[in-house]
Amino acid sequence: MTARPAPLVCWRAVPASDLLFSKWGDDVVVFHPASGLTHLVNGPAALLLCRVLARPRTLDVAAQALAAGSAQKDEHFVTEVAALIERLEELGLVERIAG
Amino acid sequence: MTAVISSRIGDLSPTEVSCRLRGRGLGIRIGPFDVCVKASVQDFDEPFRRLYREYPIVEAGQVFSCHVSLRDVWKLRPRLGRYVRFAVDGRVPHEDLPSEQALAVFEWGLNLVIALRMQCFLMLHAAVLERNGRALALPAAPGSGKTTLSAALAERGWRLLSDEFGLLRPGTTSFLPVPRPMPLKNESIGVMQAFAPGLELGPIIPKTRKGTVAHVRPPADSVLRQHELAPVRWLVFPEWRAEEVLSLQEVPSAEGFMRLVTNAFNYDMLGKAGFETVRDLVNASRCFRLSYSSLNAAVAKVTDLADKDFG
Repeated sequence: MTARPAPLVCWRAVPASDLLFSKWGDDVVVFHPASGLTHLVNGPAALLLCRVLARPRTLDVAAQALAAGSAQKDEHFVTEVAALIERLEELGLVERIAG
Repeated sequence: MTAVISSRIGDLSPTEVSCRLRGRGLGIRIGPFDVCVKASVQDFDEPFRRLYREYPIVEAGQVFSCHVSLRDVWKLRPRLGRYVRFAVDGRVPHEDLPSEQALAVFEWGLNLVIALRMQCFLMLHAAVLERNGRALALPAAPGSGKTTLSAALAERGWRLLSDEFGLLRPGTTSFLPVPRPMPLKNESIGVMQAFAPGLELGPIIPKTRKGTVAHVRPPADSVLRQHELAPVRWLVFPEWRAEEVLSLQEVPSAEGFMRLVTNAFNYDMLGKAGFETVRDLVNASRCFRLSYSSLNAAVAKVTDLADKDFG
């Protein structure tokens, strides 16, 4: 028997139309009416929610999209993005789906 | 708000006040609320009349925001004695408390009614005062000294809108006044008596669940102008600490937003309307963190800010 490859994990944000945003400089406040919770997030997190994870993406693709136009594509950066996505998942703003 | 207002509580004699409280009720206007009060409790009528003497009377028979009542009950437990029972529209929302605490029970009960029932407003847990035509909100958790600070500011000429409720109609950024007697607790009573020796206080009520309590009568002008809204300008998050060095530090708007919603009664229940109202409030304001130990210094600092910013 050959081992099955691990399923590819993708991430998708709550539709931006279901969230309310308010931006002051680099700080963004996000309100999630479904949960009644408000979160203060940074620019990259807001970018993930509004744009990058509007469609299901793997971690690598999301990190690439976030780093577009910059040189930050090293392993450490991907680890940081993974931690950020997992935090957004804990907050109920991002969900994990089968790839 | 269609009720007929003919006079103020202070226009009634003590006997008339007692007759109304014990009869069909005494209607009073407190900010946007018309409240019908019935009370047949010892030692309540005189301090009530004194603290509420500037409030307009709403004639009985009108539509009221709520009907509240206080009445004496004898109980065996927790100790044999006379207790006061608070009811709103016939319902009793909490346990009976010792009868000598009747005035405090009335004030707490009214807070409860506003916080739980008046959901058409965005309600911030904040003191609100006005100077130079602009509102200062002091959002803070219980015990942070906001009542003492608001009583001190009111004593120094600020118009009191509330020491407890920052009240807004969703979609607006002007606070509605709901001036009420301000409950000082424990050491704050002596602090305020030293700060303002002529201060008019209600009875000192010991051994309540919040310790010793005494209510400051709201300034007459604040009650007379309780129909005048005040547009927001300053959101100041106060924190009293012994030995603290005075500091008034401007904070980013996003931080102001988060601190504000942490101190709201019903922001999350209002959904989009709540979010947009808080956002507009923050956009119309400057946000500060105030740390202090000296009441005099804090009052001077905040007043200086208001006069320089909008004098």
